[in-house]
Amino acid sequence: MVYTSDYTDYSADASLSDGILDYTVSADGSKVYSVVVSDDGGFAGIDRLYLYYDETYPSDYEAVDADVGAPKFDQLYYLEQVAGLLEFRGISDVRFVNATELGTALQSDIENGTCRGTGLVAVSGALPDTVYKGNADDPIFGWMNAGGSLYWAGNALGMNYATPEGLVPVDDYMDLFFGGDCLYTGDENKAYQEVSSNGYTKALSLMNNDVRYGVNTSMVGGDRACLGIGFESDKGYASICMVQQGEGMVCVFGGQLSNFQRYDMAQIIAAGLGPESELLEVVEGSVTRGSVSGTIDGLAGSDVSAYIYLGGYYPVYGKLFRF
Amino acid sequence: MFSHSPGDGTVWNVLERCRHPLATLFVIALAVRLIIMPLVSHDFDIYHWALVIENIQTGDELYGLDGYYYTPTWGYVLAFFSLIQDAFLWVDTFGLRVTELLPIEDLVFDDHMATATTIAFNMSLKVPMVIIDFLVAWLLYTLLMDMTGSRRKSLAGAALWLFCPVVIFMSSVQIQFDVLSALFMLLVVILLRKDRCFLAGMVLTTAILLKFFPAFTLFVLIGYVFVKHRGSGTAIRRLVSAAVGMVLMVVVLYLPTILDGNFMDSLFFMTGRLETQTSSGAFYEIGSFLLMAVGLIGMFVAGYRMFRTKPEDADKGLISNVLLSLTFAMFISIMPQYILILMPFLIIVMLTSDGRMRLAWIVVSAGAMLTVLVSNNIMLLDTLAACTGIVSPGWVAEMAVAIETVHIGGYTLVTILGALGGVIECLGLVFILLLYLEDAAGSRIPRIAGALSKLKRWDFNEEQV
Repeated sequence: MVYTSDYTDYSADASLSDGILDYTVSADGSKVYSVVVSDDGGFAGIDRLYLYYDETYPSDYEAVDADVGAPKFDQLYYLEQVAGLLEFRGISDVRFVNATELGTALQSDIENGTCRGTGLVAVSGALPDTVYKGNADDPIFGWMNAGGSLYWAGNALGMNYATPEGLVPVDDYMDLFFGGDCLYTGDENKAYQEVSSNGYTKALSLMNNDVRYGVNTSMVGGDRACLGIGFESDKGYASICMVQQGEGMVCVFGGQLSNFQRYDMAQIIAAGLGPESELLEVVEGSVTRGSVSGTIDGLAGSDVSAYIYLGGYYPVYGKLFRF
Repeated sequence: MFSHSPGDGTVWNVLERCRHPLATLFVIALAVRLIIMPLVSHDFDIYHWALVIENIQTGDELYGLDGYYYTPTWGYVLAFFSLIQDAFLWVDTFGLRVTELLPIEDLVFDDHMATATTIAFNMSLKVPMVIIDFLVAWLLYTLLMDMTGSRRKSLAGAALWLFCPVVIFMSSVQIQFDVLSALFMLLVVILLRKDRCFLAGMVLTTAILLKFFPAFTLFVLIGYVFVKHRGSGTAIRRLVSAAVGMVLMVVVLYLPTILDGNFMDSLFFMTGRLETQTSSGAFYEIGSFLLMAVGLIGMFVAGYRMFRTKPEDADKGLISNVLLSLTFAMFISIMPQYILILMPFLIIVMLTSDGRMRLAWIVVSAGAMLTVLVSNNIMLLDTLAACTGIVSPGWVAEMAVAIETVHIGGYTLVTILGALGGVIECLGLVFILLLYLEDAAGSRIPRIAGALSKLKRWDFNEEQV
């Protein structure tokens, strides 16, 4: 509750018929809007989300300096913030799970066929032994293969797993998740150019340019589909990368835990992007104290989605439409 | 075109008022600000104000989504700005992430953002801050007129505020709300002088919950009420009235925060700063507590002086001792924007005494300006680069990297000059204290007393109105 805060209201609607997308955007105030149309390659998007946090398990991420006067920037705060950022982007089915609950939840999803459309955010730096022990038949892989999406940040994915007693290193962890040594563990962490192979960086107002622990899409092994977006270093590591895992995917966000990183995470989850997503069209405009409507034509294909968000780099509303 | 005849009516009166020298000052001050406002902006602070407004516009409260770390008062002001933007303005884009500017986020002094707020957004916050500038100037003018009866001194007071470079920078470039602190502190003093204790209490709470420095004037303010009304025996009643006003305002300002269960979150800035200082090693920790002790000692010393002031000197003593307590408090954290709260009182003391305080005005302003200009340097053009073609973002980033990678003895030139600015600011504050202690210094440190006595005094040609 903030005095005078309830003035603004936003909404968006979209429909697709015969390859023509009709959209309407409304705002009580004045906002830029973006309609980001993708062919998501059959990716189901995210309807519900697990946030992994267990204080009885060790974490493995570097301490992060918070802004002066800001709350301590730890994984719990990060996850709470992600939940808040997703809420105004239309994703409210979000649940914190500890290690035991996570193991049970993933197993349940596999058994009930509810992996598709389900995401897991883990920023602990090490997955718990209830879902990952460095083997290809661990529950986390079964869950992703059946359609689940793992969103990861804060360390090299899979390098260690966590038990209540401590961290356990894993050999060949990159092979397990990516089929090749594709994670960046060097010291030149910042990227100063946008990923050039697609236009998602600008289209989604992505912000984080840290590529530490990020993925080089050209080094991902096998025939896994992958999509690098955001910012890209000279060595080809992207700040965000989605890599196919069976029916699902793993999405790696580069860098230490940071504000920009979680902004990007919320935007990517809400936009419903997958490793085979292809940007079809972006329409940007402005709406002031009213509604704006428009059409986008020539949208062929059966996997078209439209993510509409308002506010640009300061987003205040987002909604995904799948057709 | 307009002939003057008594009773010409409202139109003439308005025009007559527009020819008032204060109006001329305002026009010139506005012109200066209008030139500066669109051209230069502070990247870091304004980015965060935009973030707070964004959070508010998502329907969030102040302490939910990350971005707001102060006590709630400034958040309410930003919420009000947000309301104005939504209801009346066309500020559709708050800021842009500029890829070419990314290198500035990796400089040694890392409080820089490649996300540049837009000119429209900046103006929507700068204009209200400039209005506050003018309100302070007007209050200074009226207070000085009341105290001295001299139009010349009153105009000089308004001018010294309006053309203080730190004031211009904080409202028109950085959008730091210390101008609001100055306004509230000045209002407290004016209300107390007019015997409006309840209202003064309300405003004082607002000021304290904006930034904490006004709390250091508490003993002076209590002392003033006590001295002024000692004879009539109503001092206690008036103090109770002020206290009720203070408590009422705490409830008003904190009710939403308490209801949301965010009370402790609202103290982040204070507790976070303390934690940062104490975690920076024993030297910083001890230093921080010593500086805090200096502020507290100043609070007691100024309060004691106020209590000992004769009733007939109470009004003048109030201003003088508020300045003294705030000067001590400044040592707790030397930041360029903080000095704005003492600036109106420094100006009044300067103009109601022999004018030697002008040296403090110059030195403190110079130190603060050195710090802000050096630490922000070319990056004050971020917005201009992001939103216009006047300069390119790539050029700004290259220049910033070039400037901030000049090293001298292991430190960057920016760090050294920024610290030098802080030292100069400190010297200005010490000078204020020396003038207060002149009599005592005269007997104990004759050299300092001698130097102070040689400073040229002002002799205003009094124009009594």
